[in-house]
Amino acid sequence: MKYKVKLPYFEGPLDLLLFFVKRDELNIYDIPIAKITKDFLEYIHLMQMLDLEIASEFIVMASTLMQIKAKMLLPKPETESEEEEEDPRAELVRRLIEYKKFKEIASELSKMEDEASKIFYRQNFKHDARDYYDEYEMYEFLKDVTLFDLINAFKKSFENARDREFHEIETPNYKIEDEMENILEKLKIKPRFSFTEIFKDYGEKLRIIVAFLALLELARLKKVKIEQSENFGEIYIEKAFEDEQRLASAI
Amino acid sequence: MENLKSIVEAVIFASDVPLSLKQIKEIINEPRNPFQSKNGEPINEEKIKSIIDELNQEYEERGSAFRIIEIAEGYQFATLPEFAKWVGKLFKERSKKKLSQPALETLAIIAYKQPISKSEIEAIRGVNVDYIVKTLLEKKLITIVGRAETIGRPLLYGTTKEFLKYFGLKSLSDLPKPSEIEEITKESEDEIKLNIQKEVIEDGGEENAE
Repeated sequence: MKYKVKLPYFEGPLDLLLFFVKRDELNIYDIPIAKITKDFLEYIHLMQMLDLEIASEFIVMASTLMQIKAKMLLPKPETESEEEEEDPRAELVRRLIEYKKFKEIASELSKMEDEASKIFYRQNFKHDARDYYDEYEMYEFLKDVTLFDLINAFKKSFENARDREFHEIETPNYKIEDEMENILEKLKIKPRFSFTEIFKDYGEKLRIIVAFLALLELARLKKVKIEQSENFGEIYIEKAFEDEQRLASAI
Repeated sequence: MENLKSIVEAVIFASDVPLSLKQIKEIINEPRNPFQSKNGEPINEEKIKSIIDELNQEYEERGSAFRIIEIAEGYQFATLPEFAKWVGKLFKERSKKKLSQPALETLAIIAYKQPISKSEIEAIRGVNVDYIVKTLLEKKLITIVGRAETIGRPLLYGTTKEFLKYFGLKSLSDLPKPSEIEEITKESEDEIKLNIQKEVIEDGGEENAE
């Protein structure tokens, strides 16, 4: 027999602790630390059993709880100073109260969100409203369709059909080595050309990418020089001088 | 019929963002072509406010579906809430999506403790807030307002005018204020004075532009 267990969703350890406080009507200023630690660990075990990933925040809180519990069990050292030692729970209580406040404000905000969503401010709503008109057109303006519209629609779907018929898939076959060769070849004819010129005749995206990689490789090998006169300006590619090449290979 | 009341009405009507009394005043008293009042006295913000009240009175008397509403530190035309179910049909997308509980909690913390860093928010909520902060930024409900002068100079977040509008607030002082929350606000104000030197980032977006 299988059981389905439904766990309420808790966003974080503080959320879970507040849930215990509320469920068991605990006094938040005097939290029974042993009980709440036990409940908290049980919840973590349940999560483990269900194979849920346990956020690290829960583990941190578990260890904090156990530390507080341990501190409270230990006998208090007799202090000479008159100052009273702070309750080990104080820090946790402070955090819980602060978080609780913001949770309360959040639910207040949620109500305000509801109210505010009923008010529509004057605005330039062309963009927002268009979807509605489009939909409206679809159902209402059908009556006004002319023969011309029908022919147009027919033409459109006819074109689509034909496109599909002739669709081919090519296996792209570009090599970085080939493109490197191409670029060097171009440089032989024209010693200096702009970045965009390389890609001018390349129709396909893949080829442009490969050519770009080839250019990067050439730059790395110091076979070409890449220059730019200003930020975002045109980039020029130039053939590197022979001696520079030799220098590069020497290094 | 170019009287002052109509001018105020026209200016607010034509704007798709809330206009402050100051902005309206400046438009009316614009040096090159100011409005000439009969007795020659300059038009002040109080006067404009009373004109807006008068206009709203007229709309109410004739049973109009809209009013000039004080929102997000300004005034803007808006339809009355009772027409939401009709007007809402124009904006289907917007009306349904509500903020999640974690998003609301995070916003609450930012609203009361701004400027605040991510780690300070996390200290209060006890969980990571990266994703929520990113979403709130995208929704323009919060914006980066500067950097803290503490170690690592973390980014500081604050709420926007869009936030005020989203929750129907006239200004931040309009936020709900239980007595306990007042304490938090005071504390954080002191903290700001002591630790944090606010430094407004210039390109913080239109929300910062005044």
